Amino acid sequence: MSKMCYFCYKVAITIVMKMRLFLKLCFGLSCFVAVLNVNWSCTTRPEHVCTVGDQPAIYPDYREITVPANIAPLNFGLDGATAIRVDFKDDDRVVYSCSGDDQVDFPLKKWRKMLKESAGRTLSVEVSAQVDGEWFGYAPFHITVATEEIDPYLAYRLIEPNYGMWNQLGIYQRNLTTFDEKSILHNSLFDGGCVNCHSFHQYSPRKFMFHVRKKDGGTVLVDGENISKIDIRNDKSGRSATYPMWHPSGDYLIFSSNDTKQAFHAWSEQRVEVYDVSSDLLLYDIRNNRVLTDPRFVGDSYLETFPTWSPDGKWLYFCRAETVDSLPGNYKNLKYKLMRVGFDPESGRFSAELDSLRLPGEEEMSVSFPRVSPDGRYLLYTSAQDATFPVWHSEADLKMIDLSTFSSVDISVVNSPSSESYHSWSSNGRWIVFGSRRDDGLYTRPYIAYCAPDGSMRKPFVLPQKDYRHYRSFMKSYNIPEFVQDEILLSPYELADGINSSVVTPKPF
Amino acid sequence: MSSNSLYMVSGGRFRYLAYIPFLFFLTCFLFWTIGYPGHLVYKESSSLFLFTSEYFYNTVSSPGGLGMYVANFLTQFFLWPWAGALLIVLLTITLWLLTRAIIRRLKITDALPLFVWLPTVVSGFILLTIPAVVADLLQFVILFAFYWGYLSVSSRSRRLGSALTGFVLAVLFLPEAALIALYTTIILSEILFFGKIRFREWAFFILYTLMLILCPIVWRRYISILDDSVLYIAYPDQWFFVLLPVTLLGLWFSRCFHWRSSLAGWLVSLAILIGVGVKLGADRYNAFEEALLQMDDAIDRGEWERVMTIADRQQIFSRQMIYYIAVALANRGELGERLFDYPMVGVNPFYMPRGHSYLSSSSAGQIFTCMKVHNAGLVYTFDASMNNRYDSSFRTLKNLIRMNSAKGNRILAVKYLDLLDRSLLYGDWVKQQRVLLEQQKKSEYEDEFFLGYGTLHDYMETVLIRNPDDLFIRDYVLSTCLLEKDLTRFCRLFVQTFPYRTQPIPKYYQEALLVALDMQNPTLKGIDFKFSDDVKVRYAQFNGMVNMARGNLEQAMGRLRSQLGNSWWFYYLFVNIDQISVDGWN
Repeated sequence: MSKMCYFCYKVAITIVMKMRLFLKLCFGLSCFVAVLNVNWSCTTRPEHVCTVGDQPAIYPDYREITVPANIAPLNFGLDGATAIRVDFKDDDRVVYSCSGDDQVDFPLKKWRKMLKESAGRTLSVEVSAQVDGEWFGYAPFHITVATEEIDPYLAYRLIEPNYGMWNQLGIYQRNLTTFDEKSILHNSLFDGGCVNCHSFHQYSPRKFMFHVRKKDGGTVLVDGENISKIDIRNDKSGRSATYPMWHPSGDYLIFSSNDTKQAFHAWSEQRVEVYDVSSDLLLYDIRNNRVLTDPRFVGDSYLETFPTWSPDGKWLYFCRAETVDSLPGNYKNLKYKLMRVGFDPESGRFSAELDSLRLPGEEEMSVSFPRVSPDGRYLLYTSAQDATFPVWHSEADLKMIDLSTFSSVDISVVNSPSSESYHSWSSNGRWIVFGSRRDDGLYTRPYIAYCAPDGSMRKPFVLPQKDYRHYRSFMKSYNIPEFVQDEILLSPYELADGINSSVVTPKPF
Repeated sequence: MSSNSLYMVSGGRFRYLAYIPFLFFLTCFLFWTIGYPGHLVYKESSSLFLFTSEYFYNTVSSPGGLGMYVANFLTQFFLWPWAGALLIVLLTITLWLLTRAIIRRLKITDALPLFVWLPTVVSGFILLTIPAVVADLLQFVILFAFYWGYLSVSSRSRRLGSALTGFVLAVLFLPEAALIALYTTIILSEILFFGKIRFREWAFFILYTLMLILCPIVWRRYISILDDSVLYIAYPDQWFFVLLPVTLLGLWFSRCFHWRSSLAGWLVSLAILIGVGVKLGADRYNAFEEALLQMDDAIDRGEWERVMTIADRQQIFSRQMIYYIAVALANRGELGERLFDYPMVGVNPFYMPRGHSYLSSSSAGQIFTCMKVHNAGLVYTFDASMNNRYDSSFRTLKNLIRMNSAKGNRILAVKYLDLLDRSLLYGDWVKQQRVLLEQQKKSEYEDEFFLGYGTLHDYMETVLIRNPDDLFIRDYVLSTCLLEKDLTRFCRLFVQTFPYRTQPIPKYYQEALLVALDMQNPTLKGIDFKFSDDVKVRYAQFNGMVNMARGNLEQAMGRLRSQLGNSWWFYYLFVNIDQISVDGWN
């Protein structure tokens, strides 16, 4: 009996051992098939394709755009499709093909290789999609790969499009060559306060600033490993610094100091009107830790805001409006004009002459966010019908002038029926990034557009995401997109320590 | 060991005690279903669960996020109170069974009822408060499950090893506070229950401690940003995790000192158990909050009759309740008839402060939608999102859909509908809304104005003139005028919008009109209103009593109210609305 049991036991053990081998074989075979399947999915060629005359309605819309050679894969999808095949062609030669189900997720290495090899050329993109079991071949669209690269990082704030309240918000950095997004700072690290107006000195990841609004808040300056919190405010009004801009030398920061209010429209499509009841300009001398003011830019007669420097640091551009009574009722009379004043970086003084720059159609519009291109030739600004917060104005558009002739440059290709607002230039001046609400009218998304040396712009494209549906479900706005030349290596905790450190008060001037 | 001995049913004499667990869980179920359904529905409406990769990542990237993800999935079923109650009871039963299994694994034959029942009893009270979420209860159960799983391994070396490797799994389901409780209990149980610890086994304990220290550091560095203050105890209710080591220590003590064999020990432990239950119940049970949440749910569903039924059971009212009652009455067109049936005297229900709480913001959002002031509704709804643990909720999503749909903003409405469509139980609701959206026309905006500037009455008047036939808006605005004692505006709007020639005039409107006629209001000149005899008689009595008491109105106040009841005349004469604390739009 015991022998019998022993025999059964041995048989059982042998079967189990054999089974293990069999299972291992099965597992290996499955892996092999899976690999083949993946490979197959990237090379499958649809049969019996029905030709369609229109271009595919892909989302996001990456048709007829110009992209930098170092941009992350432009993953896209097609609503209703169950399978998609994409062929990139250069002079009728297929340079790369990829397939997916309802979206194509381009492998990063192959994508990079394709863009690198196609720099300076225009690729024809042929999309075939299976809809309701039938394959359709769409008319090709084109993607031009520019030779000029884009700065590899983009910094922005993510916040709900709310009106003064927030729960979780933070400043993030996104690697534009991949899909990596990291937090620069999150408000959970400092009692849920507000963090805003991040600004980088010459696109540097080591020298930048941002404001923190909370009890014992202030302006946080980061210079390498040094993090300091400074209480920069207007002595006269007591208001703290708001919209910043670094002087190219890195020795000064110009701020506007705004008393901002908001009023809610009852049922208009435009929900809220944000306006300043007073605002001035403050110059912060970093080396000497002092706040400088000019009587012309401090006072009740005018509202000054959105200061920016020319790349040589010799001119300060800003927006100025005459004070309007009975706000918000009279907000339509609040029209900001573009101003310019000379600046001597040595003495830290503004020149006596103050220019009002006449912009095309300026009587009917209000100017915001002037930004000069790095070569100093163009000035890009936002134009809205009135007031100072174009993100809530659906009619707000980007406009540009050539500073050598003060004539306008047609950049209507970048605009949409929705709001285009905050924008910034890349360090080489060939790319702009701007916030646009064109997707749904509420949530601001970062759009990138190519700016040719002659100032002409190309159709913008939204910042690519790994999942093409990202913007459809994401319930936060991308605020203040700014290019950065490299990754910010300071951790959010180090920055939070700086925020929680004691505040430095500038010396009286 | 018989299973009965675990809960002190040692002989035939006490056989009936075997029914106690059954009765306990049945009572729990009935309590949640009948006595506390408002809280259950609130848990669902204030939570969010979506089948999207982004939602998954966001939830799982917080410590114990997988546990929270599962809990949020389960919370969806709280849409039906019975299902929510059933889930809570099932979790409680699971906990009870786990406690018993743990005791059995520890080979304790003389456990006192206190320690057998303590975790179960406490778990029954976890969800009684508004901020508590299902994850708090689920993670409590998972904590016990992990400990039970650990005890299931018989060999000590394997047990210690499995606890080490199991850390990776535990960290996905449990927050740091629970991990500390779990590994503290593991170390304690090895020391107290499983004999002498060898030298190399101490190394495991050191490793556990190291992992507990390193886990939040690694999490902070590589997974998500965590503030120091929430590193160990993210929410107050996570203190409940301490019950695992407390139970273990209690079991050890009761075994050491043979407490069970002493009747006194048995009784004391029972008394402590009851005491803990009573204390937790007294601290966490809140019938008033429950009534508020039931009203809130009824407002969300547009069940005005239910609001009034709940209101009629209430003795004490909060401002928010009065606000709900006013909305329910106005939706039924009864506000002018029953304005002072509830204690609205001295409380103007038509102001809602901004940003105070999730509850007030989300309901205010809906009410402004009833008023067709959609932008204000959106402001409040976004405020509600900000006040929510998850930055959004089923309710705020539904409100955003309703408001954007009513506003005719198709793109945004579709965006939110697509999002809600990725939940489990709102498919039909989404389908209905898509149909409604197709029929909705875009609003026209001619008479634009700013909210919050000028007086509340100015824009309420604009809203009414824009929608003169809307029953809710008319009743709401006219009653606002009465509560604000703005008789001139009331008369103007009443004549302009109320079909007094064809419809009976509500009681309190009649009262105001009588006063206005006495004051020879020019708007009413030449108009013949139909007053009810009762109102006319009471007005004459009121005037008579006031005239008699002239010079000593203070003393007449009580008599006027007790003899003639609430009336607008009384409110007009005796309630000083300037002393009412209101932090609303103005």
